[in-house]
Amino acid sequence: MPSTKEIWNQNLEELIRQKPFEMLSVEERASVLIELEADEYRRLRETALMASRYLERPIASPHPRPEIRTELHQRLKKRRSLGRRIGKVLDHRMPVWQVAAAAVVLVLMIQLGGKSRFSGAGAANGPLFADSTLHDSAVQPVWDPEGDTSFFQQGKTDTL
Amino acid sequence: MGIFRQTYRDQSDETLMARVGKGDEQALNLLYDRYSQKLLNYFFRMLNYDEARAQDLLQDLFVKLIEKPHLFDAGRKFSTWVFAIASNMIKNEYRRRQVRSVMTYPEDMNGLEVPHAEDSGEEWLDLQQFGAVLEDEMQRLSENHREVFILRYQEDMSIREIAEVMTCSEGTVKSRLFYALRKLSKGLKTFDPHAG
Repeated sequence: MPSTKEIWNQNLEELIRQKPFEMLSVEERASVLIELEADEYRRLRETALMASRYLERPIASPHPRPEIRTELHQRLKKRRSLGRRIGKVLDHRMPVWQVAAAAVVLVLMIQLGGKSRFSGAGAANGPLFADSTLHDSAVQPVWDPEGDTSFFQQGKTDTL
Repeated sequence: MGIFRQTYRDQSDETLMARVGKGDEQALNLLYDRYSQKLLNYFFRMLNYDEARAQDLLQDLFVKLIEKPHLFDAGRKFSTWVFAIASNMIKNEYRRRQVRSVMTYPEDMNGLEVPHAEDSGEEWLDLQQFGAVLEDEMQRLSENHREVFILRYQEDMSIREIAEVMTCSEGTVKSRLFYALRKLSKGLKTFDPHAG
């Protein structure tokens, strides 16, 4: 007698669709009867066949909107033009001398520009922060008892 | 021009997707023709017949394909990959709005269906009535059960494909399918010719 697991391996639903109960072999019938009664098998078969007939035919669902196709073509064109632009950039050819010159400039920049005043042997003894203070006398208040600013002379530094 | 179209039509979904990644409009058109209706049907049913939102998700999904084509793994089957994206979008949508249980099934929807030539008028009417109840019962299923059922019965996917889309084991898919069928069958008892 086959176990329930073996019945599932055989695919009971497939069997129901394929064979009427009366056509089942003795072994098949025995395994089916573990799960169902003969009447239920017949009823399931009827449902499966009718459902199959009904669902396989052109159904009453709507047709795709025509605008979808148009939208898809626009998307495809957009993607293609983007691909072309990227391709152009990648395909761009430069004269050899320009490439060589760019490489030389790059090497020089790395060698010269890479040395900062904070790098090298003296860096450890130098200040961590370098700073200078600027004093701008122009922002300092000028005493003017009369409130008259006309005594300021052009070009003269404002110092107190 | 005819030969050019023919060569495109013969291309696999995976090849077309690779071409979309290179900005090929013709490839996008064909992929859209092959999948837009299927995906819309899937979104429509999974979102309780919310047409506007289903259309939005359809557009968003194809925009993702255009803008992130590198996410497609060329070793994978396109159909399961695209449905896996759709499935994740649905999960996000459920999380976002905690799915309104209000069903907005349009009354005139049945009128949009075309009877198959092989169906007699009576059979077609029976199927329509069955379909209306089935749609109602499907909305009562849990999210996982509904999804597995739609992928199996509407999209006709194999167990393995569904497992790949839903990122779960094949055993789980089989079990969910069986229980979904069982629940639906209970709700559809009135259509059982063996009953009574």
